[in-house]
Amino acid sequence: MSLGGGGLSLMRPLGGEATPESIAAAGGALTEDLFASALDSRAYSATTTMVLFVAEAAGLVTSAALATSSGGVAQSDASYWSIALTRWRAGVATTIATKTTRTTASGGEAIAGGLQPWTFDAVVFDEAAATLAEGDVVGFVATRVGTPSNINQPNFTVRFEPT
Amino acid sequence: MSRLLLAEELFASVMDHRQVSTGIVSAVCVMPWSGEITSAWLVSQIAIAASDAEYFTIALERWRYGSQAVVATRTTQATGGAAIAARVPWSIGALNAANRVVQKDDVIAVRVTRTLGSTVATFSANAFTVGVRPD
Repeated sequence: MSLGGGGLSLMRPLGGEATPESIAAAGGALTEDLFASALDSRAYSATTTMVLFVAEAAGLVTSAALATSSGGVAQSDASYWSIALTRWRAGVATTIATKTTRTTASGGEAIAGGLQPWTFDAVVFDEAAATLAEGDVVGFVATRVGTPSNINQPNFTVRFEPT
Repeated sequence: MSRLLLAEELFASVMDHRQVSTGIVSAVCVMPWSGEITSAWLVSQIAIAASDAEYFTIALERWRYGSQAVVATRTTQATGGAAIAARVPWSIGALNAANRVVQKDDVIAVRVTRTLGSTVATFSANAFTVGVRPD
């Protein structure tokens, strides 16, 4: 397994009082632009947990997506993956949002593979669960139901905003 | 409410422990917003000598719903490339002005391809760091 992370900010004092214009001129960003990403070079063939990051400050998870470098997962109500964006607080898991590869009628979507995005944009987030306290852990639980295709070397990206 | 950051740029960084015997593709991130790629680096745990007989090609790619665009590429060829020193940042090369522009849901990836020769060089445990800046 290999894990990585990112979406951190390289701090650069601008000098003097910061204004939106001065920050924009310096290539600045907003807290809402922060994100973390990680690559898991495993092929998921069974239910798998992937830890993404530890919240260094209180915040809110605002979006999530994954992409795989090869293969994909077809839609099926018999054999599918259920992927839960999850927050762990002191080891207790709370689901923020869940998306599956079930049929469209069942609210799922195929994972296209080939470095195409599979986003949680259309999924409703549990706001309480998405609210992070310092020290919370954010990750995913991919639950295998039936015999869907493996999820190969997924990358997970989560956007979060300090509050 | 969003607050301003005193941040010059953001970045995504992933590590891939797979051995590059023929080639690998490592997804770095799914872009959460539109912007541009500002830099791309590889850090290898081992040194890779420059060689025209056996070398690696490292390409930074932008994928937009199945359509590939090469943002930058560089090799470890003796001719036109550069050796990789262990744990020293190695730039993936000059960024293509058009392809460095990203949209939300673009997938950024790094492809490492091995061109075989008389030796048996492989490498693994690579970190890829890509600087990104929002619009």
